[in-house]
Amino acid sequence: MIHYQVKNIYKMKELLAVYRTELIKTKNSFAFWLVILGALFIPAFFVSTIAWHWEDYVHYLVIDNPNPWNEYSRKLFNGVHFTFLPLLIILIVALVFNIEHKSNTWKHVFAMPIAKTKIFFGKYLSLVTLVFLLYCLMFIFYLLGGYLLGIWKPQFGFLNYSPSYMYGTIHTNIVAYISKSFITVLAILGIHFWLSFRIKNLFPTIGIGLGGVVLAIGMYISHWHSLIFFPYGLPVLMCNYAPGIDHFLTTFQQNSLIYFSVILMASYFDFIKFFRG
Amino acid sequence: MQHKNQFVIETHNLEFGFGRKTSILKNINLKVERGAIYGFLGPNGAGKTTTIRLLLGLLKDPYHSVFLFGKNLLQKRIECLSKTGALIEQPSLYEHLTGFDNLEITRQLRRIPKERIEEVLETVRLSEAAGKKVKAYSLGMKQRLGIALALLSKPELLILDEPVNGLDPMGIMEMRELLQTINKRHNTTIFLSSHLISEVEKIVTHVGVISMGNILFQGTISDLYNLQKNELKIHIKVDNPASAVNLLKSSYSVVDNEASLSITIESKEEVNEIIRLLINSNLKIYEAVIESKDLEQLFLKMTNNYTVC
Repeated sequence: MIHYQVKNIYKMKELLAVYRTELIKTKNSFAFWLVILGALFIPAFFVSTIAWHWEDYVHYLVIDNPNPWNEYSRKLFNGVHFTFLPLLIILIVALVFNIEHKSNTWKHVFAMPIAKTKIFFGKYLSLVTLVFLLYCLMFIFYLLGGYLLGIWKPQFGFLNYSPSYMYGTIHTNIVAYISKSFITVLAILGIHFWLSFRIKNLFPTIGIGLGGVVLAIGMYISHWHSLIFFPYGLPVLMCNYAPGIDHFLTTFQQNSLIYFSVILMASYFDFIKFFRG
Repeated sequence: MQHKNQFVIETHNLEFGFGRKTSILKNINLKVERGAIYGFLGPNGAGKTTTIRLLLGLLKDPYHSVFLFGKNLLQKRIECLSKTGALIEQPSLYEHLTGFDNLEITRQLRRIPKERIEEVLETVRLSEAAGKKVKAYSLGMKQRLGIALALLSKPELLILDEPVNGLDPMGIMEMRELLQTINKRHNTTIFLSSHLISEVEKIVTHVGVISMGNILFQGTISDLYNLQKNELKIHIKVDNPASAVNLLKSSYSVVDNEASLSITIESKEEVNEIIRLLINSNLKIYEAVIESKDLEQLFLKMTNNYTVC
């Protein structure tokens, strides 16, 4: 029993070592800078638009409710989920794998005394960490943007109210919204994880992703109900999404988790059995 | 299955092909002794890199015919690879990271003490450049960093694919010295491939020659030199070729080419004997040229003959 536990601890330590090295690999990489710049882009773009037309926005943001955060959050979150976030995820995954492809380092990784399972999950964990970091930074920049607008033009009233989305607070709505958004991108993350280790060239992977996103937008605009089954369309469905009080996942979020689980298993099998770098 | 023998690398009729019809390696039986510097030689496309990839488990060996340290590689992959360091083709380096970071990645994966990084950097003389990004390194520096990565775990076996490829003469000399030092200091078995025998003949103790997926020669470097001895010829021009042939044919293989006589000899010491015999018989010698095939020519002849066949 003790021997079994020691073995498990050793395996976990090895997985953590792979995970740590994956994070070292992202240092100074395009993928890392894309996470930071991507997280900054929509909030910065949105805040500068408001600043530029601030007189119009003073009235617009407080039209139905004196709390400007509601409309500010809705608009910004919609902007993030409509094409931008899926494309960002696709690019980050492709660029992380491009580190390995470009340096021709798969052979070095596989010639090391490390089980392929750990290499696979170490890579997955590092990617999930990068996406998590993207969400955290986006959230920080979102809050920062609102407060900066409040400091710059007190008429907005950002400093007089707590951050709010769909009339709910950070605790009730915003964290739930962001968590569910994270779940909706998992299907794309799974698909592109598989594509990116299989296809050495960046462009086909990005091209497939771009095609998927464009198709999803077309389906969204045409109100196709089957969009809830299309992995690239799931983040778009987060536009104007109101998290329920019960915090259960809605069908399209469940679909994302199902896709992710199935693709994770299939890509794991392919990586272990057939992939040789 | 445990194989109790002295071979660090052993393959049993190793075969490989992409698809059913394309056979790249045919019945390769490598035997690399502990402590040896084994030169794996062959022209480009002979199957050297494929063999090395199979030795490291980077390609699938359907017949499980690779044994490292007496253990089957596919059955004991982790155990075998933990004692092996490798450099395959160009070094696999993360160019956006520093030399130190590259070593740190391997150090963490192989769970090696941190001090070891300084040691290997010193061994390959890269201590000062460790903080620079690898993209700023010269080819020789990259090659040395690749060796440092392979050495980090103090491996018992070092597998190097074309380690001197693209290096200038100074770089080649430095690499030779480095490999000899590693071999002598730690008794590390080194298996290195090259397409130029001249690059490695000064350091290898054993040689394997491969062409078109077949092993043409395997043995010690002295065995190879012995083969070369039988390839020595002397061309002599004399005033009376017919008398000279009569004089020498009982002891040597002589061919009269009209312009000169071609005599096959086993060593250069026999030249003196032949000249003395001719002079004692009052024959006039106008010219005597030794045609010695060096290892390079022997290697070329070996591989070319096979290609033609």
